[in-house]
Amino acid sequence: MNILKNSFLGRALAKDRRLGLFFVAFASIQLLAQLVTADVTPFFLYGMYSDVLHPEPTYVRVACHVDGEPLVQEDMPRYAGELFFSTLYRFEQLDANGNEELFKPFLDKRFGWLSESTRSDLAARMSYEPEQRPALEGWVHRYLVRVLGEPIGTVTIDRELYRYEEQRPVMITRTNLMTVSR
Amino acid sequence: MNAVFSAEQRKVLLRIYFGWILLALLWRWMDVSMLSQLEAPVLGNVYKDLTFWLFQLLGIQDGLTAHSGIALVFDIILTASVVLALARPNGVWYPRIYCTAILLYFVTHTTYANHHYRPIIGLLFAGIPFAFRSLDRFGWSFQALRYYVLFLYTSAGLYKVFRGSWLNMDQMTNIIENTQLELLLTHGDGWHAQLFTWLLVHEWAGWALFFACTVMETLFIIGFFTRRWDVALFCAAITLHIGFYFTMGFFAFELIVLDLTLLPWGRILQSFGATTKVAGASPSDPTQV
Repeated sequence: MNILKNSFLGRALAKDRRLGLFFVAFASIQLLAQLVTADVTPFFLYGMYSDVLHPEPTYVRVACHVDGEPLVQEDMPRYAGELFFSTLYRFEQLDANGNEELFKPFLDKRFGWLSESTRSDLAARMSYEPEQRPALEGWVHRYLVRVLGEPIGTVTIDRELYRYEEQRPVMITRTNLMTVSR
Repeated sequence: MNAVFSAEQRKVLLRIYFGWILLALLWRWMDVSMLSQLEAPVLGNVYKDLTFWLFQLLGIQDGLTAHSGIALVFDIILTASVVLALARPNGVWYPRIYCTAILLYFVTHTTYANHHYRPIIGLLFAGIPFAFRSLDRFGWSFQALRYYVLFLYTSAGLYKVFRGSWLNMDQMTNIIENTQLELLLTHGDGWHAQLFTWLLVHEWAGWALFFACTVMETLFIIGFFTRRWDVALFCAAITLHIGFYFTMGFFAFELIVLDLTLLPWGRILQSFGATTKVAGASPSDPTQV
């Protein structure tokens, strides 16, 4: 009992009950989220690369060309590059999965207390439909113009498939995902 | 054992923490990553994060990005709250506004970044102690932040232990092959790509680094029992961040601000002349003198 009383939380509870209870509640939710590995921002799960990774037969790269010149993430400001290329990678995944989203089963499981229509509406809001493609293409162009700070004509986005041979990546196929011309 | 900071010390700490936060925000302004600079993004991802879904239910992400005017007002409020907190370090309302705004920014930006970049949460937690008016509560929450940092690193190490990745000999090889494909293709002759290639060839070295990382992270558990090793743990945290950059190309600037809580602020602030008010401090407590 003394250990508990002398612990940080024990002393916080004794000194300032409201603040102590806040800490206890926070720690409890954090531990619960950790145990069930549920993402509940701002309760942070820092499990970076903790899952056992296995070698993949192939790796996907999304390649971007602006007016014929290659544009890679390292050539862009850090956060802009992460945002832009992560969006392209998500688009590539959606395209590869036939635009199928996996959110509805998740919503049904974790948000069962919401009405069916609300859950369907939420899933629809976060899904990607082919009709949205012009809007997405427009955004790709607008954001690149803003980041690069110059007018641009054509943007092409390709999916490239690689495998590693003697620790070096070798391209297997390349297919066009998107071409935007303005 | 509790360090209760004086008003003067709180002011100095606020300037250090919010100075760091201001740098982080200015970096994002320069990198075209504030909400008003996102050009009304179309494709988002809320992952399986319950909070993100609740925000989506309330329409917050759309509401903050669909109109550039609203997004600009939001960005100005967020940045101004930091500047004003620095200008008026005795106030608590600016840190409170900041904490609310940075949470909204975090969820909205991460949704449209299509990348669950969690370290930005460091910017939220760094501001929380300053939202308390009472110096006692500030002191307690500042200490709580220290425990939270210890928890983050320890849990990161334990995840690797319990999930078995620390014994996976080709874990680092698979991380590099997964994440550094673009660098190997486009800057293959650069020093960073050469390092990655060397690690791919010498798989044992990559595994040794991953193993060392797991051990270093797990050792943060020491901090729950004593403050004696806090400076060493701070150095370990910085070493880990540098290591992550060299071996994974990942640099969590936003998380480092939390590592600052491991520094012996009591001693540092006294040596710079900020007066200390100590309640129940034990002589063995190295955050105190």
